[in-house]
Amino acid sequence: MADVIVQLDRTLVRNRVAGGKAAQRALGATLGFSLAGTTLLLALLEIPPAARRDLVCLALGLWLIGWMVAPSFTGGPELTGQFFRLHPVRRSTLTRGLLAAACTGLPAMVALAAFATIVVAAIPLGPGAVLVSVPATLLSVLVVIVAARLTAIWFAAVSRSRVGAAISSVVTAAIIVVAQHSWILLIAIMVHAETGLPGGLGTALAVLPSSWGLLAVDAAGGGEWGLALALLGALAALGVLLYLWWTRVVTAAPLRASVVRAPRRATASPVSALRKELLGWRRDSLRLQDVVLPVAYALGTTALPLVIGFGGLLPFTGVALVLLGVATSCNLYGASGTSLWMLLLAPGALREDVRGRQLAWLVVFGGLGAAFTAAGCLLHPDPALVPWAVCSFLALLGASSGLVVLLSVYALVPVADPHTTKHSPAGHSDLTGPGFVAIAAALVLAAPTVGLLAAATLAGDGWSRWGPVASACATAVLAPWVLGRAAIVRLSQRGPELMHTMRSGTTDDAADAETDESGIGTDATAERDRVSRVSGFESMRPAESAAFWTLFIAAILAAVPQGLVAAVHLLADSGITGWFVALSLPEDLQLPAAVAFILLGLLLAAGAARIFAHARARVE
Amino acid sequence: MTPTPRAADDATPALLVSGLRRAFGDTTAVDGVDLVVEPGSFTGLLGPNGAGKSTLIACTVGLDRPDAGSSKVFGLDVWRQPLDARRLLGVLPDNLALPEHLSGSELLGYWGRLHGMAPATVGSRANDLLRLLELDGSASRTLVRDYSTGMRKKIGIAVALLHAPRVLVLDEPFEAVDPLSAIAIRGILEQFVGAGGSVVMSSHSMLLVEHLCDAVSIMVGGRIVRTAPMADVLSQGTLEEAFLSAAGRPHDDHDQELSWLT
Repeated sequence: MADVIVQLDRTLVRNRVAGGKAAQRALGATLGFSLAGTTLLLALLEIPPAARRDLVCLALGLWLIGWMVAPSFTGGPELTGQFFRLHPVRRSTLTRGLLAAACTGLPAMVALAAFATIVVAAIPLGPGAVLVSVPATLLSVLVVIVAARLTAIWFAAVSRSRVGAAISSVVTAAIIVVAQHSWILLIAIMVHAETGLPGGLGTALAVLPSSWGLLAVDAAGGGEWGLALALLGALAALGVLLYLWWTRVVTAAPLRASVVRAPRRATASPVSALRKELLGWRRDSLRLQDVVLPVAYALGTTALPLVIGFGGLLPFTGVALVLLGVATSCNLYGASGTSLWMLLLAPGALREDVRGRQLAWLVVFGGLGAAFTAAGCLLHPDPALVPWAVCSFLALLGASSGLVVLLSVYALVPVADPHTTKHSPAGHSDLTGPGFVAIAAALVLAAPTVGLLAAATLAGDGWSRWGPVASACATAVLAPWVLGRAAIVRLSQRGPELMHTMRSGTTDDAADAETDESGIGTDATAERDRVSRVSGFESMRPAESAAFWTLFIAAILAAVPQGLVAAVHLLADSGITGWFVALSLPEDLQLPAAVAFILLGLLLAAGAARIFAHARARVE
Repeated sequence: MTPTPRAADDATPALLVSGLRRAFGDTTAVDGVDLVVEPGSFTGLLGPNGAGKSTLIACTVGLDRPDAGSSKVFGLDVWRQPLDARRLLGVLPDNLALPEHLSGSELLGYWGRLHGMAPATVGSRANDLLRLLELDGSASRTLVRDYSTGMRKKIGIAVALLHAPRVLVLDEPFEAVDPLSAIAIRGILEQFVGAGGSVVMSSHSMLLVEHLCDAVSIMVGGRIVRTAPMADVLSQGTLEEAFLSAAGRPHDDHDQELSWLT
């Protein structure tokens, strides 16, 4: 039976590759093995052994945590015990088969390559250490795989709850922050390379099971055989315990972890559009995700530079929140699905609904953003940054509260209705493109304010100080009003067409859009959804995919750290040179260089976009 | 829930659909449909799966834009005078989403507010509807997204009724509804028609249509193939026989198929 499960898993992987996911798989493998290779190299660094051990423990700890949280946004492994709930197969057999399938998969190979660092670290310590390192590596990989399977089951159970939504948002935000701030982490590691990590952190790392293998090797190298065997035994015991636990819960049904209930009321009372929206932000786990992601992103983005003692980003926490907030909320109407019908059938309801949505968005993001901006300005009291933080926050907030309704009716992305996807993890439509459009549009609308801020900074004191304030206030008032008005007009003129898009996906030619019988109609819609979701990413050839991601990463590196962040350092006069090319140039060239990096980033992004468009054109 | 008194002009049909056409790509879902619903009448709309009933209903009430034809509620064009027409219409659409994060009573409160109803009226009507449809008590704190299929139907019917419309257009109102609630819904609809309201209802239940409706329209392949008063239909046999002769019999070779299923 176990080998049947392994074969089933193989077939699933093969079908996925045949289904156009080959490029994705190749990219994942490349990325995974590159990271594993980097981890291996850490063991060879010419730094004091204690510092090297800390560094490798840190890297292996990140592997363990990465594996454990990955299911929260990848959705976990395709083949799970869930599928066998109704089959007459023993749980122990099932777990054995699933483990065998997991151990032979590509991800397991990547993990094995990464944890082989333990063997590399053992080589200089002698044959005894190498002898210990082999079981240590295998047991570590086993613990990682089984732990990831357990967290996948847990994430599946809470995926529809607010807790699950919040966790997966925080994980996504952490990935974005680390990717964007990797330069800060590099600096921090270089600072600590000589001295090793501060005592507390080192101890905390040693407690993680991912470190036990390396510690066992160290002990064997030092002749402490008892300790080495004890650590190996502990690792094996942990693996067995986790495996037994997995066997217990392998077929667990997804539970509704926490059902949200409305308060009890004696009599029904009118509910305004604003109140309906605010209740949505509080009760709906998908909406909660749209708030938690920007919050975690904003806090991470501005607080992470504190590890190298730079607090100049703190006043901009509110700005970061709004920038990602406009991206996560850019499909406000699409996310409500076909409930649009109520607005189309109630007399004159559109205006109140659009304004209510805008106001609710302002209450949530404006409130949090104002608090973040105020707290940031207090924690990093630099009078030069306050006008920048406050004016750009106000302008972006205004622009965004208009854009969230406008974009969602002009570039509506159909989302499957929640009641039709009750028993599967919430399907996310691809909102990456519209999200970037939203950020770009918000930046364009806030550009006059930022320009006046720059002018005022250059001109020093005088009347020009009030220019950005006036511009920010004008944007904050006019943008929501004008853009909201445009959304109302669009909805009143094209309501039935938007409704049709919502019901049938983006393709209009679908002849089977006739959804007479709920079951049949829903299946047809889902089928079309899937077809229209074969995006440019999936249709890229491996070479195109590599070129796209290279350009994409280079574009972000050029525009964000080398361009924008360098410019912020210049404005804040931080005196940091770091790895910023612009800041290591003569003073006159610094600002032009930062601007040039931003332009270069845009150019590279355009190149990536071209490849994407090309691949997409081929699908269509 | 008593409908507001009718307009003086009794000759105006409650619902007048003429020449309605709606195509999706090469498929014509609704193909030149005419339908007249008199004030105070209860019309049943029958048809096999995929006949175009839901599309017809969506085009009739203004949720989907037809390619041709018009739809009038008491003489008010649904597309030209939408605000006035919508006040007279109560609609139960087919399996569409609702603001899922609201409870039943919050949803009715929201709908009442959208229709500009007085708070006291909203409160008392919503309480009546929730009690009659058994969505009060332990279900009162449940959010719509946690409702069962039958509960979704029932709250949809409550939404259709709350603003006391004069014409009800209902897409399969009895589907998945438990027998007790079905009796309650029947009672509500009969009272509504008795007070002069008009109902159009699509259904797959011959028995229900036969008992409730005084007129029947049979739709096949996007066209209305037969419209008749129920009395006429029943004078010639059962409704099922009328439906089969209009829609065509399914394959008669069931004996050969699934012969292993003994």
